[in-house]
Amino acid sequence: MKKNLKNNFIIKAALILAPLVMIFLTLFLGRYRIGIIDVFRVLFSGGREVKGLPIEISTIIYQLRLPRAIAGAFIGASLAVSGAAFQGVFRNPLVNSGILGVSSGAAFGASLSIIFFGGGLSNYFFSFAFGIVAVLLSYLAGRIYGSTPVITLVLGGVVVSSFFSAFTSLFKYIADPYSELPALTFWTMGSLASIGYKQFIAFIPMFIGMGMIYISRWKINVLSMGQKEATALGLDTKIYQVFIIGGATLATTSAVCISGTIGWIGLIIPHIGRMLVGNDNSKLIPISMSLGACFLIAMDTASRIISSSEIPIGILTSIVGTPFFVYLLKRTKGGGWK
Amino acid sequence: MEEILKVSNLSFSYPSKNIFSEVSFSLRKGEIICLMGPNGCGKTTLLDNIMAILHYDKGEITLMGKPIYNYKRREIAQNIAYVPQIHNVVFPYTVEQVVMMGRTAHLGYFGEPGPKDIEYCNKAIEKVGISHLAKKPYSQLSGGEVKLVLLARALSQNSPLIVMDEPTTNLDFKNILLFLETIVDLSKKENISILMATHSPEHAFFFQSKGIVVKAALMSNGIIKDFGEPEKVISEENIKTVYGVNAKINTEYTENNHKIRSITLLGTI
Amino acid sequence: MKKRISIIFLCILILSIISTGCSQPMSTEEVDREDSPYTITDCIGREVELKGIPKRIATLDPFAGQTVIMLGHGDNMPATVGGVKRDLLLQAISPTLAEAKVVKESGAINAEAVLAMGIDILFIKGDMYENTSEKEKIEMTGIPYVVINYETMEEQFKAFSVIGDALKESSKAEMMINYYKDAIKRVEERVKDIPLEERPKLYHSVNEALRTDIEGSLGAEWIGVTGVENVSLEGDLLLKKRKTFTTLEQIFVWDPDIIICNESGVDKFILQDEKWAGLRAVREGNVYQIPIGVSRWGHPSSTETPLAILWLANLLYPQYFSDIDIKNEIKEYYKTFYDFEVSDEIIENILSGVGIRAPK
Repeated sequence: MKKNLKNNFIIKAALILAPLVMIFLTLFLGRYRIGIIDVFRVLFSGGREVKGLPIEISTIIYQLRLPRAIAGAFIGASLAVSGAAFQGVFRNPLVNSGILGVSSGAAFGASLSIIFFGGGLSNYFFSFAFGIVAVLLSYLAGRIYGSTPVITLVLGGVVVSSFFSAFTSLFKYIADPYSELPALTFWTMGSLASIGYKQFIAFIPMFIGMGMIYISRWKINVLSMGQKEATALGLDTKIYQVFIIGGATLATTSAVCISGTIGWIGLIIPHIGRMLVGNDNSKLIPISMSLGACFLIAMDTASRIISSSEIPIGILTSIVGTPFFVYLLKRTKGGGWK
Repeated sequence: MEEILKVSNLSFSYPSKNIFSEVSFSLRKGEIICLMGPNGCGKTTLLDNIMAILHYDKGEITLMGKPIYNYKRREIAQNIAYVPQIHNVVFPYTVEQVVMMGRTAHLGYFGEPGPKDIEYCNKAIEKVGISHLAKKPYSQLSGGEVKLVLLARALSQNSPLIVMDEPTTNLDFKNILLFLETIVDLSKKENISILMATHSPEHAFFFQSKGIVVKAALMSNGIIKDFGEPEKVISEENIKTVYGVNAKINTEYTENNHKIRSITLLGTI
Repeated sequence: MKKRISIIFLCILILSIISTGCSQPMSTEEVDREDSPYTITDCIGREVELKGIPKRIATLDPFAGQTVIMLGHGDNMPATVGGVKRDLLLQAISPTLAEAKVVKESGAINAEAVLAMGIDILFIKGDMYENTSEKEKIEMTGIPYVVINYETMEEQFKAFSVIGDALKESSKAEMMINYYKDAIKRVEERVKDIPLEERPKLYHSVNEALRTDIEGSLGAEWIGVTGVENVSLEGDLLLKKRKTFTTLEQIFVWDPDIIICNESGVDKFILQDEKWAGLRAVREGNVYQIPIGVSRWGHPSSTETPLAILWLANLLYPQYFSDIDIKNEIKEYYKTFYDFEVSDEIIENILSGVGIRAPK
């Protein structure tokens, strides 16, 4: 018993420490060569100028590498944990916020906001609102056939997703190519390149969204038994569904607001988590957060060091994600799945 | 004996279709009611009303003497547990994790199971005799074993009443008997009341032969056609009118001289 | 062989359409010498037969749009593209531009509108010709079309001369080409003697802050005339839809002495953004807006590349080019080629790149 508690503590500490270590490590990596000792000197200076070091080094560490890494951690955690939550609530191991149309709904909302309201903070509101609308539409479209919700939900999501993407493209068509278009293009191309400390405000809704999922994580197990059984087990299913879907949508759309749409993380990270700790959402939710954060930091670091151009992060997550997804489908047929 | 559940003059209909009307019966502590009737006669809908998953139009359901609408969702679940007919496995949770979900009704809004819940859960697993499977993913178990897992989940709910919807569907002889014997055991040791929808009249006879107070309810065309002692309800006459089947009821004696009835199907009318 | 047959067939087709379509309104009066048919060769070597000097010109391309106005045919251009129509300086030079219709959106020509307007010549860019469905649409209209290309300086000379031939303004086009070549020569001759250590490292932002040049682009070529080290040419940049982007950290690695931006406002963004703040060029204030006249100088679709070369040389090596007064050069240029007097205020707008292009 005592040993168990100790193990538990070590695991918890590792989950929190892993992304922090990753953030720290990425400060040393990049196209610009900075000596290890110099990185430490800059870090301990607390942002003040360091004697004998060019100011470039401090800018690169504090303005280019650090905000990206921190944002990567939050965004990765948000996307992964939302994916896990959606999978549980919709009883479908194949869904994530991309498949349910949340990301494209959010991108649509943001384009709407940029074109008609000039962008800014209203982006967050609109992308959240349309993220929610997209999930609801996917869910309703999936229910038209009703009998096999596992498949029709995915189908509904694909339809809704392309519907919103079409409108986003339409907005691109009518947008002013000099002032509005670059902002719009950003929504469909996931990247952490333009993240600065100003965008850190999005961490608040991400944190709230993730918190909502985290505190109700065990209840996701019960919800995944299906509406009727969960109700018979004593759960107010509607309240928890709304709460968890709301949290997941809030976290996803806020992430989309600062990074654009980044695919695959919400799908593959929860499944890697399942292989490591099993299906119990009490453990799966925290490990998805931690893994998602580490994975996105790693992918983002790769995207900025592989070439002197930035490789779009969606390409990297897909290159890693697609073979994994195929492997997963194979596994889903047999093995631990039924 | 204490009355656990009382259903009086209950009616329910969907907008386009009347499902049942004027249904009345009551269930006392330690008692088993076998609810029978042809496919589509409204058994499952009746059970859903009793668990307050569906809301009846007329009549009343009282649970432990109080109208069921005075209960909160988790209070209902503290008093009624449920074993479903079909359970789709989506995520391969371990047996322990599935049984633990039975503790939902005893946890706070954002609570997680604690040491006390783990104890309840382990006891429930022990009671249905599947301790050796506790760490296994329940997706890898046989149909009979999954039913026992779901029964253990209902037990960990620690409720005085368990509602079962055709729990022996898809099970072979041995697994059916294993399941029924577990129920007999529980009924005797724990004094749990059971409301069970079933297609097999033999189940009622089996429970009776084990010395448990059993009642049979025969549902047909949205009403309770007959309710009472199994001998009275499961008669050749009733089976003929309700199912449209000619059958013969036999009486036999087991080794220890217990009387047991059985039914032989002769053909459709 | 097959190609030749199809070209012949095409010519016959075009001719027959033209002759049947336009036979009625022709008067029996003496045929003006201007209206006698002539044949030109376009940038990809196609022979295009014209019935007479075009009176209703559609420029589906900004380079052609600027050139047609430069050659004095702006009043005969009822259809063009959005970029040309929105340019305030071009509007001032050729007021009829305000009424011109935009007949190409997102790379697609509105063939029906072109037919309805009675257009008698189309100028299109090479990539439109390579797009089979667009090409078919254009050929279906039966209107003679001239293909131009301008991805290198050599191609730009050729494009000027082709458009000049098409409008029977060859001598004016020749003047333009000579000015262009002369500008290159003026700069190259002096740069040759400038020691390498006096030549700065330069970063060129194209439309967006992080978009830049690669080897072989027009940007790389004209900047190369000034002999600077264009930092992005040495990188292994990835090409994405004919655009190349880099990363900010890579620019820190390159550590340029000077940054030039062709898009209005990008210079201010770079100077103000905290992420760029640590860059030496930014700290030292060496971030410049490339002037914008009838186009963004030095952009491939711009006819003002010679001005861009002179401006950059003057900016980089003021001591070697003290005789070139860029304001004067601008005045002369628009006077010579557009017959337009630019005011001092407009010159300021051109140099700052502010208030010279209308938003969409």
